[in-house]
Amino acid sequence: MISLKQVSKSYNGKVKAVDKVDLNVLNGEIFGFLGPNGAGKTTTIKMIAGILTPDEGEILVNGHNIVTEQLTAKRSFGFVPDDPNVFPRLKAIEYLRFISDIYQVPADERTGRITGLAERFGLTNALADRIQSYSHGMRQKLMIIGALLHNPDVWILDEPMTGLDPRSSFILKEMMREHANAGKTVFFSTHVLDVAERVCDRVAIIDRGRILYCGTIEGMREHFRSDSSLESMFLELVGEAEGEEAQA
Amino acid sequence: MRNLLHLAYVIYKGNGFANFAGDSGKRQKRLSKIGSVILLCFLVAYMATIMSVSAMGLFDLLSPAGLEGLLLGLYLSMGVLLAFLFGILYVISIFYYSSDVEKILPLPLRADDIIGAKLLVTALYEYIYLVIMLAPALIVYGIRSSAGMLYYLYAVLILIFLPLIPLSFASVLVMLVMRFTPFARNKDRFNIVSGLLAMALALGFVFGIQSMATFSDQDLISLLGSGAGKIAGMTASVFPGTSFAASALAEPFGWQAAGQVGLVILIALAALAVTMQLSRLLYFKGVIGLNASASSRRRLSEKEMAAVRTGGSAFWSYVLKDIRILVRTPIFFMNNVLMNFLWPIFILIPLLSNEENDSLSLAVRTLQQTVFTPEGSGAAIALAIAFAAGCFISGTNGIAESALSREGKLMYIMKILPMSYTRQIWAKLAVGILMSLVGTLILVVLFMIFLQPPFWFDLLLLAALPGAALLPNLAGLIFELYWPKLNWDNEQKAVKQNMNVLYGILLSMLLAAVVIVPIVAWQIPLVPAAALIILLPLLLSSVLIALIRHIGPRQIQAMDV
Repeated sequence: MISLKQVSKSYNGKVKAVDKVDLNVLNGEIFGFLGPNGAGKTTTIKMIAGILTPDEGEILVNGHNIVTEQLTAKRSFGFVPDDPNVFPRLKAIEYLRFISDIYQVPADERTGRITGLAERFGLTNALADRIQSYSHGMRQKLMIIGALLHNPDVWILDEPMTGLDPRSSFILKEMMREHANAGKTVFFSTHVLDVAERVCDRVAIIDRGRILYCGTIEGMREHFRSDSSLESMFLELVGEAEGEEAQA
Repeated sequence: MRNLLHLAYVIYKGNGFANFAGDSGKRQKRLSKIGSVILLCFLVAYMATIMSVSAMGLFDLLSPAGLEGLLLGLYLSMGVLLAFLFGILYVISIFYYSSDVEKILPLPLRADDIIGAKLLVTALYEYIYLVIMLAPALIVYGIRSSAGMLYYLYAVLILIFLPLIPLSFASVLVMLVMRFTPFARNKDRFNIVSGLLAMALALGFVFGIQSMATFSDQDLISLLGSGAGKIAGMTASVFPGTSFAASALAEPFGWQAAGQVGLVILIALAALAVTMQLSRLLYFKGVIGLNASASSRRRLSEKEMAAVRTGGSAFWSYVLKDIRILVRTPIFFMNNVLMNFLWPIFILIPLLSNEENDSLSLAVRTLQQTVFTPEGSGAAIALAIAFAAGCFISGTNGIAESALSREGKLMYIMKILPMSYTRQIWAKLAVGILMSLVGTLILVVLFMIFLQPPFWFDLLLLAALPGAALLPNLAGLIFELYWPKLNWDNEQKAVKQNMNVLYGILLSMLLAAVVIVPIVAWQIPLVPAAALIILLPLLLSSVLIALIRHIGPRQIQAMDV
């Protein structure tokens, strides 16, 4: 589970990228994090992953504080960044071995996990190549494999579907569901509202650093008293926020 | 034309010449800018002094025989040859491997604008160092021969137009290679091979200068008449215009000289026109489809799978990952790894190039009788100098000084790994120390082979190694923790345009001086001096280790990436 309490972050002490955010992502659910460009999604995800330190508030990942219990918290999640261009001059297998060593994946389980995940994402015949020679989608798949290699309880995925072919995208969604059904947590950001609508148990919509809505998509429909798609509710919500800000 | 100039400006800015600033605040950027200006001024002054002094020496040597005109031919030929060799490297990097290529190609620009802008930027880079290399010699010649205004006017025109001829040759040669040679299309491999060739040329150049320094006047005159003269003659015949330029400057009066300068300009413009014409045919077909790495698309072998099964320590895995990136990234390899191995050779070049005559054995005998004795302070000073050389090698490889900068935007990965920042810092430091140990060990081994010190001195040298490898790396890392240069779009900026490398070298030199100065100044005897050289760096290192342990994690935590 992931818990954010009154978390804020500003850049250069001026621009408030995230403003007093409260979120609770429960075990056994797929949680979608939505918002327009520059809304504060990536900043929030970076704080959850320990890349950025919050100015205020507290973040717990699997019950461990990401600032004060860094190592335990970091061991409990797998993180897929929005930019998969990582260590281009390593071979894919060298990257996966590095990740296995860092996360201390047991020696007898490594081969099985690597071959299993590589098989699933169709990378088996490319593991001996340098990451540099990979397409964007292949790099994305490798990042996903690397993030899941130590079998983490919490998955934190920043735009994981970007660049994936339809088959891999389907497989990833299937894996996310399996993971959540096993009582574990999936937290992911996306711009593709259709995906969020079909995959997520709950969503949060963030804009200008503030959470505009957090709950189920059904709950959102009740809130808007409509049968609209998530897309139109999203646009309405973000549009309302913009309007309120303009009036203020 | 406007498009061409705009594009040239963008390409020039993108290459980030002399942009050494880190990522931190405005004040730091200003300081870095001031630092880079000081560094550039120093380098320019250094090169200009060397070139002026050598030109003066050569003028004084040749003028009694009335051969001072040879100086012009020799320097202009050297300049043209350098313009050609550097031109090859610049054209490869600016025309083909620059990060702007992928952004510029899809833009609605005419081929002429792209090629013209790239040629302009390449020529600009060539002018910068050709002016530094040639202008002092031409000025020296002008002053010593009491030349008039016409000489200087012609010199300026020749400096502007003459380099365009070898540059055009280099451009056409590279475009032909890139168009028709599949090997050249692998960016990393080609970069490393061409870099190694450039290093070999530089090494040959240094050896050549070194051996010329040992010639007598008569030897030099006969060499100019034969060897170097032949090279100059050959250069002049390969790159037309050089001999006209030399003749015009040697006798800058009358219509003949004006005609010769006019011919140089005409040849340069014709060479440019031919290059532009050929580039329309060759450039785009050569630049499209360049790749950085080949792929095999094969299943892992049983051996490779077995290597994965063997679990390794997280620390050494981290070290190995950093070493792999260091060795496989051409820019890092050339600047950090190769220099580490070349410096020991550069330092010992005087010994290597004197090997043929008896001076080496004489030097060895003298050293063994006067320096390598436990009595007196000679051995202490020799040990101190060896330590300083070790510090220099460790400091100049720039590995610890760019440990974080080399990560660039990927620095965030340090923050998500379940490995303490302190351990990650030690792993990065271990890479620098390992490389430095290898570099200093090569120096010590060469020292042992050529100077044949007694066994006890060998042992002292080996004992001084750890301090010489540790201290500069620790000192350099501190700068990285405060001012890493993470925001770069090409690897060159992380190591070549990083002030931390310079600061690290200066600090390690300062620390080496702290150890050496008392030994030389007070002529400290061998035993206490050896204790000082071996133990003081270790003591200082332990202070720096404590400091890094204290500030390192805090600094990394505070970095917003």
